[in-house]
Amino acid sequence: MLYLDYAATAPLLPSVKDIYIRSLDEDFANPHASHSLGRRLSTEVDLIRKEILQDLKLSGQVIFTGSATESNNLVLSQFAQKKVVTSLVYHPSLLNRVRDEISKLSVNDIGQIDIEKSEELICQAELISLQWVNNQFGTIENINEVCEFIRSKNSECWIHIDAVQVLGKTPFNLKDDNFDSLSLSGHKIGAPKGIGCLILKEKHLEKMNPLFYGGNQEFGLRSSTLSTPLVKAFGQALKLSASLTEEYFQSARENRQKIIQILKNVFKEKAGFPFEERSCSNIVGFFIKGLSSDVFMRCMEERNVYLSSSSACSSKNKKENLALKELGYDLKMQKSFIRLSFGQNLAEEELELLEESLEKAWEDIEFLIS
Amino acid sequence: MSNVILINVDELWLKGRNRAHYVKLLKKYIRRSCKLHLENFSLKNENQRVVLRTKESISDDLFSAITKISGIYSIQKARESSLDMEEIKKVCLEEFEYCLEKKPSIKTFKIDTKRVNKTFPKGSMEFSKDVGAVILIKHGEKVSAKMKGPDLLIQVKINQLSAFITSHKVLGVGGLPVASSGFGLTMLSGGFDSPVASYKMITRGMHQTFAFFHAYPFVGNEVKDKILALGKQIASYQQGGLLIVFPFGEVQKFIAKNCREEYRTILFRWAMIKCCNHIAKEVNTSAIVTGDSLGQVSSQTLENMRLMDEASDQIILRPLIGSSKREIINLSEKIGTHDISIIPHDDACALFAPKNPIIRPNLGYWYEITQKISSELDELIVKLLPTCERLSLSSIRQEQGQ
Ligand SMILES: Cc1ncc(COP(=O)(O)O)c(C=O)c1O
Repeated sequence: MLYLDYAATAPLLPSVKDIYIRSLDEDFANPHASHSLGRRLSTEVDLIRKEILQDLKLSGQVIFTGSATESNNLVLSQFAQKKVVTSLVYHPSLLNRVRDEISKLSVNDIGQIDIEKSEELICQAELISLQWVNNQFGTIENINEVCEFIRSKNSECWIHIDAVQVLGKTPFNLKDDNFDSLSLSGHKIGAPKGIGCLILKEKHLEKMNPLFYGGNQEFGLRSSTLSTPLVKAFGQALKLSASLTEEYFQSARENRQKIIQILKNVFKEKAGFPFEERSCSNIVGFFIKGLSSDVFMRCMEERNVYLSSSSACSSKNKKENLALKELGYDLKMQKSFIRLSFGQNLAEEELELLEESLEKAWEDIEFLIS
Repeated sequence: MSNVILINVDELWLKGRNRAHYVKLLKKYIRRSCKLHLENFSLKNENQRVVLRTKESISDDLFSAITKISGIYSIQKARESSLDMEEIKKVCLEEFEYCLEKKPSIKTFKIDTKRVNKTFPKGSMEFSKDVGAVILIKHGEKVSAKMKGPDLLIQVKINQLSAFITSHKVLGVGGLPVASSGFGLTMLSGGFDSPVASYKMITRGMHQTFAFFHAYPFVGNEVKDKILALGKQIASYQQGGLLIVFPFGEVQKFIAKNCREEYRTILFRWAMIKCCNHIAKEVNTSAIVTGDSLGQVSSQTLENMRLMDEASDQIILRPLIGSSKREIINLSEKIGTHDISIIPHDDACALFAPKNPIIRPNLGYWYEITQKISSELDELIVKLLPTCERLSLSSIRQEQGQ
């Protein structure tokens, strides 16, 4: 099997799994309990909060949530009826709550914010939500530049950053002043599903309202008994992905180039790679002119190679890919978009398997577009 | 007193000699439905009809299951009485009061007596009047008798051993009992036509197995879920059945590689007919049913249909050949497949549609290409047959084939 859909979700990392399983056995107590069993866990969890901030070189408070979707919604819910500025090229969890009311940032043809053209909106905004790495195209936002521009034009504005696709795909180099809140997700970096977090500047803690009510855990922002095993697993996965070095990213970029070369060998001029200029090292978003990416995805699935014909979240929605639409691609192009995403570098045999599977699949379906 | 359902048989007068066999089949299906809902019940043939008696209450589910059984003309909930005249009158009054309570707007009524039992001491007209009088004495200030177009009609059926009193009637699907005319294989697709074609053949007494030609990987597996839902709905009229999902994508790849683009669509159809002939051997069916309707799409021409017939050892039945799209859609609403058929799904036809599809095949090329690929295609089909998914369309244990 060749799994090339890491941007949708990543398999558990072995060391994460070890920690998780051990913790499931040992750390069953309620971390909010006042006996020593519980207090031990709550100390450990607080330590992990600190480590996460250290690993990312950020300051603030870590609020554990069930997912990045929840983290994004927690922030958005503070801004009902307020001026929210964001872009339709982003993940739906940044949009659904506000889709009808948002003001749209201008983006360039690879999905980066055009700050000059957006200046007026930026000046009026109360919340600007940004996505650092695009989950479909793989485009990296010039996050520090954009945030500094926002700060310089509108110092009151809340900057929220969805950093879900950053870790492991491009160096995490956000300057600490450049955000008010930031969301992360466990399952995209090798932890189990069911945990994410919101990193929030301390000054905002007091003003925030929770999404739901109960025992006031997580600074009153996320009532629910915290799962210590999930927190530990998340902490470990985050530590691993935050410690990746520049050498790793260099080799990942080379690996990515090999994959693109393979795609070009197989599809020749039929394949288009419009997002190359600023793509992260672990996502290849491309088009095969005239071919349905759903059909292609299934032809690869028959050969045990798994990739995405659209973002996993939107693949049930057969109609439109709103992100691609926002970039001006028509429905036909939207339906011919394919995304490959990977965790670590592919081994030689895996690259060969990929090439062979692509060739065979192409043989099967070439007649559809001839 | 038992709850009684009178089940009147459709069309059976046509088939004098087979009658006993038909009623036996019909009773088998009724019994099967009853067993799912009742602990104790009896089913008897009485005066051209089947009578279901049970002390338990008859649920709406059971009732609607019975209405779906092919071969039934109508179904009536009834009360039963001894032949004692006073008791019959009393039961009629109960029925009347029950109806009035359910529908207080009733202003007029009529009693209609039919005597099979000629030893019954009173004539039909006279007895109806007697019953009417009993009702009028008690309810005369609210209701009156009316012979033409009453709000409520109470029928009194006087038989040899007992009398039935009923004011209720629901029409069944009619036709002949399932499997009384044999076994067929139906090509099921996601549109309106094939489920309706299948329904029509069920009501002609044909039990069917279903074949779905799954164009995976060209279409996704969501289509299969839709076909399964359609199949279950249709099969509910024959108390279940089998859906065979044929991995047709392989066949399509093979044909696409070997033929001219503009012949793809018709060759796919031809290959399906070949597949059906192979499947039929396995499931013991003796006809192929399709949803073809003359001229509906460009491939459904007389000439193309003849080419399909030539390729088939089994007869191909096309029950919708003379139906308009509107008739088909109306019927699909009635039988409950419409709302499933309209669910959007990937369409392989659109994907494969040649830029210039042929309306009239060049027979020279047709015979050349079909002869050339026929045996290789047969081999491929035989190889694929064991990999077909076989899905049950019933929640009931199913006796397969004959
Ligand atoms: C950019 C981005 N944000 C948010 C999410 C949602 O993350 P989660 O699955 O943790 O809710 C995803 C994943 O689909 C994503 O790619």
